[in-house]
Amino acid sequence: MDAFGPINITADALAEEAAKFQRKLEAGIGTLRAMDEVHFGVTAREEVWRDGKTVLYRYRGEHAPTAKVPLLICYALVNRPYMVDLQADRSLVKGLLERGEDVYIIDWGYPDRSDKFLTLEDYIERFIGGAVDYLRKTHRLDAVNLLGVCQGGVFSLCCAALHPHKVKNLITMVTPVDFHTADNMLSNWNREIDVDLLVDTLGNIPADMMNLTYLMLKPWRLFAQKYVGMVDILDDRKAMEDFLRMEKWIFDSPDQAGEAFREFNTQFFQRNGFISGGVRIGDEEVHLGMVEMPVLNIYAEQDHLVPPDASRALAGLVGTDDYTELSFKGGHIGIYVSGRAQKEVPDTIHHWLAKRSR
Amino acid sequence: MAQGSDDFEALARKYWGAWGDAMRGAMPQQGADAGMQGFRDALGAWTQAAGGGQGGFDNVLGHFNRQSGDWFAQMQQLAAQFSGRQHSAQDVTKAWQQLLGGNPFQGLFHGMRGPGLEGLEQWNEAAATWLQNLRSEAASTLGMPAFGFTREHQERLQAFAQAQLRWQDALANYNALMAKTSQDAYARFESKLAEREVPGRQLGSVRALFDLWVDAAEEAYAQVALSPDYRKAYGELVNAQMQLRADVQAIAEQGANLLGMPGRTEIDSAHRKIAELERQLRRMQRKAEAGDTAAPKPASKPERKVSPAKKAAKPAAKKTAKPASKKPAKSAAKKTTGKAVKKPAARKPAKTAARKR
Repeated sequence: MDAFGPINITADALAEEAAKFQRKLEAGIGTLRAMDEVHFGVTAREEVWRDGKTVLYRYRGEHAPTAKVPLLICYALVNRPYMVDLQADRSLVKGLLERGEDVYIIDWGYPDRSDKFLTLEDYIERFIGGAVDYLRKTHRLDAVNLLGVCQGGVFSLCCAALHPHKVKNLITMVTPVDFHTADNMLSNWNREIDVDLLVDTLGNIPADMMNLTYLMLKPWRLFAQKYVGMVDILDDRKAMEDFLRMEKWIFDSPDQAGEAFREFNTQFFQRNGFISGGVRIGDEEVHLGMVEMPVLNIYAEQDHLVPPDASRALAGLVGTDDYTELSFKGGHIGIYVSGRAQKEVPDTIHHWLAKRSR
Repeated sequence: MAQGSDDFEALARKYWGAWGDAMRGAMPQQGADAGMQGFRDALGAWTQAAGGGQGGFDNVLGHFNRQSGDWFAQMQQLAAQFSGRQHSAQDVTKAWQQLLGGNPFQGLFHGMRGPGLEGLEQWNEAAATWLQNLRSEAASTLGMPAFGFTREHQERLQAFAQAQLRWQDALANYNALMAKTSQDAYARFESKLAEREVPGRQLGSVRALFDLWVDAAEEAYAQVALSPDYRKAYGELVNAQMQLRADVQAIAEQGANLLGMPGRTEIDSAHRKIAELERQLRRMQRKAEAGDTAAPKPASKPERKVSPAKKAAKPAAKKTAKPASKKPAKSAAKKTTGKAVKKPAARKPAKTAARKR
């Protein structure tokens, strides 16, 4: 057929596309009915320490760790930490264990109303600090390796700045440092919000509200296009399992403890405290100049939640002379689950740590 | 196979057969219109057949059916209108606009609902009856000075009514901004379609047409979402909603109090005391442990006590020790290699030397 405009779809092609759509839907019934509930978190682990709802897990690889210094992973509060151990072929934890690292993860649990008054001091001094002290004690070490992810990276920076003698090496992944870069949508939205009114009214910040906010960052892609695209994989059980596992992770969000949310939003999103100064955790002021241990800063080039410039700002603020960056070609989540990440990220972390563990 | 999927197959065969016939017929316009409802029915049946009440993916199917399936069906209808007919980018955009209306963003946001996706507006709707009752009660006293035995109650109702008006204004302002964004999205869509008028670059599938719309809509949205206008409109929307909610909660708590029921304030007060006591206890424990020893094994290096003077001096010292001119060189290296890049050594000679002493 001759071209008449931008749409060059024949009636036959339209009918065929519709028929293909139907075949996929039909196959999807079989695929979905044959599937179990979504499973996630593949690596064996054991609880080694607990304080309130916060639990420290030690992960077990097939071989005993060769690293002498344990690596503590500190995830964000806004999602569940199993993103770093989602499934057998997408697991940062597994990759690190295979390379000989001794991996621990803090699981914050699901705060309820009784946790509304947990502050950043509780999260950083009591929970991260408690886990760090537990590891120092059980491993008989002065300092441990700390890896912070996203908001957990902000917490880790605060912890390292307040207790530099307890952190041997610091790794930050997709961590915002400058919250006021021009391309930071979340920060733009936060700036005019009356955080005190929000927290005083809601108590804890509901997970649903957080999820809605994240979806609204790219509403057409995340709510319309993604599910239209899902039809393509309806006849592929493995691909559907991966898709649903990711869905589970995205929407399995804890509520946010009100006071900690208030402090985090005010000090970082609104006041941009790492850049402008004045971040306080309890009675202590945080100076990133105190971060004198080696730092590896990993950011994602296509990160729509934490723009690269927001992470790269760390270079000019930390006090260490041993600062390294890894620019990963991917997004905020791809840095954990993409095929390339499975080798590149654990390799980089392991080699970087190995050089500094002698 | 189970009964549900048989039903779906029968319905789907009927619908898709009719759709295919219509597409191959002489009047695609009629076929497209007739197909829309059938498409929705078929998707509805599919959702039921596929989900089977299993919690793991019922949510996904719900979103798919409620939202994406509908968008795709509409795009299919759009494509059918222009299949085999002379048309321009402007014609397609105009037809798309007729299908979606002036503010498709609002439609999309309405679709972002359901278990796990409750938004601000949804709460307002859920409380609508109660809000309406309160509003009619409050309307007569709004703006009047309160006095007498019930003055406190009057003031609460006045505040509530004012908050509700504020919320409605904020919502209207936000929707107006989204309507403006929608016009920009349509303009971008038309421009992208115009680029595809060239033979060899034309769109050959409904999916490609849908993806082009998504690109246009996201571009328009991203531009406004990063703007000061959006910051202001969104901030006011959230703040107005929270004020309204706070006022309702205050009235509800007052009512609960009359019946001798514990309210949020009372429970929060208890939780606050517990949290504060626990925090004090942890502080004392940390201090006591720090006083004993840093770790069970004698530390190889004594814990470094940083004097307040040094702490205060740190940030300033760093600023002077890091020449800004080093940064561009490092960035350039990063971009070319894409590999891990180490920070240049000897960045802070003065501080390093001081530390070695």
